[in-house]
Amino acid sequence: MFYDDIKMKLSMDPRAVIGDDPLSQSDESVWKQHFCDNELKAVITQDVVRTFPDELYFRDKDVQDTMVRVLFFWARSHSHVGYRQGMHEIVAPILFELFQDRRFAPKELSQILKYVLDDDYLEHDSYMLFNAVMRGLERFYTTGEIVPTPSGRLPTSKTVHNPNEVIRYLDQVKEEFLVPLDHEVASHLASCNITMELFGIRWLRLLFGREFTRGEIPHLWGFIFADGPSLPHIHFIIVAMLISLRNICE
Amino acid sequence: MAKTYDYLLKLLLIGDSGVGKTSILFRFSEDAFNISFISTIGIDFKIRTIDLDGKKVKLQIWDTAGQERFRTITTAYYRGSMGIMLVYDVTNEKSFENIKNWIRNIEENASADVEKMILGNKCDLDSKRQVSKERGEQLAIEYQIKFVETSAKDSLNVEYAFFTLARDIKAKMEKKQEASNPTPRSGAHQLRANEQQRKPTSWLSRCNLL
Repeated sequence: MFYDDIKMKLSMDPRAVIGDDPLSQSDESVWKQHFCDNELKAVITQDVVRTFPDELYFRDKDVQDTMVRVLFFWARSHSHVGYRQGMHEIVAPILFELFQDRRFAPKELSQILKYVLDDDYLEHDSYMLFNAVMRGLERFYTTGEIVPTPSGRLPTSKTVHNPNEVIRYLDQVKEEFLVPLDHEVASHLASCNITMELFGIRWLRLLFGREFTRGEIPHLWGFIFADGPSLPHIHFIIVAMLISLRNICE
Repeated sequence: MAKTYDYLLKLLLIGDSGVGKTSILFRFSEDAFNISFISTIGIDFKIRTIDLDGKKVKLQIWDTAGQERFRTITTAYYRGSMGIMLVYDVTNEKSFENIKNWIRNIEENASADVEKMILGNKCDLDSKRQVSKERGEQLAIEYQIKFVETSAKDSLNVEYAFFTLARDIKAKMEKKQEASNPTPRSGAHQLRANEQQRKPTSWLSRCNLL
């Protein structure tokens, strides 16, 4: 489904619905959904306003609103994942690169390039790219059988510590790759009581966005995306980063 | 390696997204403030060793992502912590209301005798205030938890909060130690019996962490 269709489907005006009322607690109620949506947007805004604080581009209210919309519509159309902290720092570099493409485009453009770089579709393009990247990242954001409520809150789990996908993945990376490739680093981490999730959750959910300077991210991501949207080789990056830190251990 | 401290205390900061947990921790560990903080993703920690009544107390303070309430990673850290700071933002009513949910969360996940403290942060922003100091105090009385309003920005009460929590935990640990090594004194036997009854639960819960 394209962005405009998703937007239209998920933006119902509760005032236009006959027979619904603002106090309704029914799951079918458009009013109830409306209030849940506002709450979800507030949760997203909380992170969006804190995106890359040093970059002027992200202080712009219009840019922030664009990010909130992209994240909101993605969360609503992927209700099994919802919005989770970190996604804002996946959208941001994408939006910025697409903006740069438009800003630095030559004046004389072919019809087709004009079409591709249409300013009116910056938000749409950001959504579609974000959506593609999330196909590979989604599993690092999900929390087992816990499904977020329509307002984006995560209900309390009754089960005691059910390891979610990201933790399982990180353990697997350690056992299958780090231990055989660099036993010393692996046992050093273990002896310091440093678990993989301590840094690994951030590495994966932000696709290493905070581990390198901002200018390096587009290059790194370009390299990662070349393998396709399922991001099949990121465990190698994790292992390489850990091994490159081995000098610090000594 | 020689131990450079007498006590190691594990503390945890929890509270809604954006209330200033990272800022409080940054103020306490680096004595600095940065207006533009980024969201915490997953979990992070800082260390500071303080001098408490002549003892070196190493504080290992875990900072959590606000949205991680109710979730996976955090619950494991709940169980390992000896003290929990519950943080809300005095300019955000919702974050105050949610303190009750956070407390319920602690009751479900942390060990029963964990020390707690409520912090009402951003008290420098008086013009934007939505939660009065009295309401904070009232909530604290209701749950019998210590309470203080803080400002990470103006460095108000942040030191006090950590020192108070650390002192309460240390006192509790010393009491426990005394109870398990009874000096010949009347009443000591009684204490020891209590201690043994409690032990299995705390040991088991620590085991779950692994």
